[in-house]
Amino acid sequence: MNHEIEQALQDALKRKQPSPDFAARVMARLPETAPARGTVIAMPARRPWLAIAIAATLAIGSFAGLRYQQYRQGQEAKRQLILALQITSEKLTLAQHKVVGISERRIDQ
Amino acid sequence: MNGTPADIDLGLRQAQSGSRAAFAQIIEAHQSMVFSLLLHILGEAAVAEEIAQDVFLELHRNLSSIESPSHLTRWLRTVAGRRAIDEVRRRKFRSPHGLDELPEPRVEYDQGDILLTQRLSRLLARLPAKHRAIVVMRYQEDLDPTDIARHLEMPVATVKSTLHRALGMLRRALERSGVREPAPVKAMPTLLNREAV
Repeated sequence: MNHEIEQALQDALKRKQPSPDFAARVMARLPETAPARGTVIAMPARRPWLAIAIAATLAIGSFAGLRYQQYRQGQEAKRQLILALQITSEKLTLAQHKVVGISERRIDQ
Repeated sequence: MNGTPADIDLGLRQAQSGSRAAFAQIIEAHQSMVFSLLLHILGEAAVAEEIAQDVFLELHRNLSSIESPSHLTRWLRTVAGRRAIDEVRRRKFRSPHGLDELPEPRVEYDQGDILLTQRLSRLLARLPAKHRAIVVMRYQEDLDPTDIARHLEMPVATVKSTLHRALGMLRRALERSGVREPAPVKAMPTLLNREAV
């Protein structure tokens, strides 16, 4: 029985053709431009030195950009620390003047 | 896209370089395979054509990743198979009744193989999506369980057991509907016996 089923399945599942204009309808839905990825990928394969140069430039650029960003962050942190110390110093000076003023008034009394 | 392997490879390269004519040839060479896979799994020609078109459009978008003509065929089978299974699950194509519960009109086997073939087509449409996809890949595309497993991304053992179960379901449904065991047939080993287990 299995053999007959398998034979019948092969008959039932024979390949069939879609409607005659199938390919034309697919082509009508294609974008006008060629697939971009193919061109981009094909270029480095033909010119490996160019791909290496581009990759190296990108790597160096990324590293330099990262280092500059770290430098800028460091500078900003330093500036903020100095400002905070200046404010603290001014507050302490003000407090000191007030304490001295109070002490002098008590002595006068 | 007919011709020597070198011609086919050249056609693929031309399509990858943007030749629309070469891509049209790729469609014509593979449309029967893609459409039939979808038709046999989905059971509706209009839906099968619509999804087959989508498969070729997806191919066009991914053309640069295709490495060879054989890779192209594998890619199309895999995408068509997966799209069909997704579509079956999405649209709930499957009959709300299981294969085993549905009554079948009694048909005598000696009415001819055509009836058996027609009956099987109808029964096939009631199998679960995964079972159907595996049966279609096995008997339409003549793929072995290892290839089917690769296409559908499932273990080989699962493919074998599912194929065995699907054929069992079909056989029981045929027996229930009164299709009798015919006279002994030629001494040809069955594919099922070789694969299942």
